[in-house]
Amino acid sequence: MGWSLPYTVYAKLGVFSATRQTFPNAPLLPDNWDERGFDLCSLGMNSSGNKKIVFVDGCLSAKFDDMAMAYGTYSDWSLGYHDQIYIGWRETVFTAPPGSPLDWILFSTNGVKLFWERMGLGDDVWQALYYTDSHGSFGIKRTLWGLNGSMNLGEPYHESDDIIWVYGEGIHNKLEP
Amino acid sequence: MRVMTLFGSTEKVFTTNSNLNLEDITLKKLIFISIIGIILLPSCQKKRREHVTVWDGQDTALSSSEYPVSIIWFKESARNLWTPYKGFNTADEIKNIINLIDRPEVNEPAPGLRTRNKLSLIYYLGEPAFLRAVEVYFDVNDGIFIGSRGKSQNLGQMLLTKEESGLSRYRFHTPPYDEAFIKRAEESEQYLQSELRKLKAEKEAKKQEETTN
Repeated sequence: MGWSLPYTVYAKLGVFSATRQTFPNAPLLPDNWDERGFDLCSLGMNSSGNKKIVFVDGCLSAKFDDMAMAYGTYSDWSLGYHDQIYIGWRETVFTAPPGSPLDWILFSTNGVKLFWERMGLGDDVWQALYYTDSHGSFGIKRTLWGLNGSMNLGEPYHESDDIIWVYGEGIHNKLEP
Repeated sequence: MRVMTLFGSTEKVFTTNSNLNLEDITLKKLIFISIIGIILLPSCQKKRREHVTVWDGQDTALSSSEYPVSIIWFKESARNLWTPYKGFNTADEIKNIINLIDRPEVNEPAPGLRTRNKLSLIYYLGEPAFLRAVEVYFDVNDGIFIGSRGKSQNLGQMLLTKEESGLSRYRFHTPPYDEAFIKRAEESEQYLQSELRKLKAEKEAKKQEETTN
């Protein structure tokens, strides 16, 4: 028995919003990912109402709405109850591991931290996002809400410069309803 | 040493035991080089053409070349994500746009202008099939077009009154487009927008109340 560094015991796995495993007409993915990738829709979340708040904190996670779809944001449940929401980033943002000396200039982490702190204090999604706009530092505002440094949620996709983006209707969702 | 080439007799050059006829070899070499030269000549003459260029308003007027076959207004929704917003395809529209970009009512050069709006002028250059795009950055402020050569109210009006192409609705979905899904996503977006408008109005009202008190 030997030992290995913790990161070497993990194998990289491609996770996709959808593949031909669940949508035979989906666009063909390169490098045979349709077969060897993990298809989120295979979990059935796309038609389920049980994911209320999903925040995929990764670059470009909300550039398109396919990930939101995979997590059930447009499920029939949501159509009736309006209580599912997906939050992500529309663009590539700089980030650093928590505690890194670069943390203080990379405002994405601080912005997300502020959002979750407010959620923990009982804010709903709208209030917590609004808080990052009204009380966040200049850097947080620019990183989360674009060049004008102000939250434009509610504007059409092609007219907004917001970097954080929201799909779905559960804007009043709280961590503990 | 024997080397096979297209010209069977060329092997003589490399065959040590052959009787060399220098004049014969020189002539054949000359013919060979000429043929290669003729083949390569057109490709040397072909100028490298750029597929996409940005027009900064400083050089030649757009109207000095042929008219584009189509003009598309793109908006930058997120960084480097350009969404097709409106399209202009008739000769009248295209001619008017080109002329007004070239000669706006107010001459106010702004070379190197970069904005979140651009007109892509699509040129089709015929045989051999070749497409070229010229990008013209601009802004619209209070209904006035602001381009790299100046300002134009007429062009601003023309752009703003044109109906949307509707292509933006496909921009962030994955093909093949499922219309039912897109409709559902649009309904969801409309619901979210109306909720957010209400919330913003409430916040504004609260702020105003606070300032008046």
